[in-house]
Amino acid sequence: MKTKSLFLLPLVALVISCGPSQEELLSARIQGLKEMAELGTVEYTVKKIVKTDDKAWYTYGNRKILFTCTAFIKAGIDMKDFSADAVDAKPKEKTISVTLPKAKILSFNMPPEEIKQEFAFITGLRDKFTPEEKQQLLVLGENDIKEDIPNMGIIEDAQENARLFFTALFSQIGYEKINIKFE
Amino acid sequence: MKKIIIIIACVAITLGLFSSVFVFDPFKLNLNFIGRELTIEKTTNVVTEIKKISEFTTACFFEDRIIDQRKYNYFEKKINHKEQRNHNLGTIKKSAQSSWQKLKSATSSAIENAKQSSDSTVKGIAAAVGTAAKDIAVASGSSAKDLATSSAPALKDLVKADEVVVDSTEVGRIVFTVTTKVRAGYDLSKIEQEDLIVKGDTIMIKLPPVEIFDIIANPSDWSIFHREGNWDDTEIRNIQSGAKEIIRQDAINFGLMEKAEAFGKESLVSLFKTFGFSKVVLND
Repeated sequence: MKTKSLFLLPLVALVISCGPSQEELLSARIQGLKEMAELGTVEYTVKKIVKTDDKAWYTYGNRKILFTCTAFIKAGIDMKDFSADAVDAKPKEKTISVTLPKAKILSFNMPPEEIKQEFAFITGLRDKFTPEEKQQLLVLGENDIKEDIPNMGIIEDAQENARLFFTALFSQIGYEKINIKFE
Repeated sequence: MKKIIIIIACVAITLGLFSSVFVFDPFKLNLNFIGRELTIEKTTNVVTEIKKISEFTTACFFEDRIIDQRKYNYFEKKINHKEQRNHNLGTIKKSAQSSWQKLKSATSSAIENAKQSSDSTVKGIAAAVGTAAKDIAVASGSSAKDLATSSAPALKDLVKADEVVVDSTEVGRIVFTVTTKVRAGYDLSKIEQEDLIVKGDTIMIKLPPVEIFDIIANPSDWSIFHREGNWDDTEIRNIQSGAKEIIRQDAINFGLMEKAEAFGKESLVSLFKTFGFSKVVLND
């Protein structure tokens, strides 16, 4: 123990002398604002069970944990990619043809209030799951949902809803012949 | 041969010691994670709801923030005033003794003065007794006044009951760093048919107020920088949920709503112009 402390002492001193003070750290805040023009047309609510059974041949005992979580995914059209050249409007003939950019994922939100630890089980000489480990597991769950997004059909739904939105808008403002395409 | 057996035995003992330290982890070195990472089991991602939306996001606020939370253990602490009461009783007793001594000496000196009076007539004796009585009365009044003044503060404390106050000690601290996004803009689904008027090549649109759509802080955006004490899952979720309100306020203070309105109007004007309108009027 003494040897360990002796070894750690210079390391701790080095960290203290090099690192930022607590006050500096707590006042640190980086902020920014970005101009956008994104039209979200669909929101998917996705539920997932994140579970692990952390057992290996060399561990004495077992530990398991199970979370339920919800993610909200929004998709739509980024109008920043849209240019005036993509519109062919003939108001007198009441005809409009628009080529919209392809839909994309606009936001992924997995709020903490929608994450719930449902079950934890620890036996033998195993340690409890630390908050850092739980965070690590939730990140894996988040990544798993993100990887699965292309299989959900959200992009197709976003494009279809965008088509309906613009069709309704153009008919409301007087166009009768409406043609909406995607790049 | 003997040498080989000894070497094999040494190797076996070393391996045995190493594996027992690794398996039982008696020094809590968290050796279970050497060489491997936590993994999750494959589970289905279930789409439970598909919602049609028309959110026109016009500004996004970004923030890297530090969330520092401390945890306290609250307990009741009894403040005993017994010692103070005993001390005050002593003070009162001393004041009473001193007043009594003063009164005693004033009475003795008044009696002595009366005795030494040279007038031995009845009138003279009566006058001397009267003076002595007056002196004693004055001394008695003064002593009573002194006693009341000197012991008043002590008497006040004397009736003070024992108190129970709530005290606290710090039992935990957790510091997170979080990267967040706050998206704001116009919810175009709130535009009613009567909010959109077309007159020739002019379009007039009554816009709904700008609103915040999402405050995004996913698990991968959170990092635990420092932790002391035990924090359960509910406590951590509560801190993270609470932090969202702080971030919302930061975004508002940074001018997100004003910027979203300005950028949004600019974008909508240019968008409707591309749709063939020469004049676009936007009203709040």
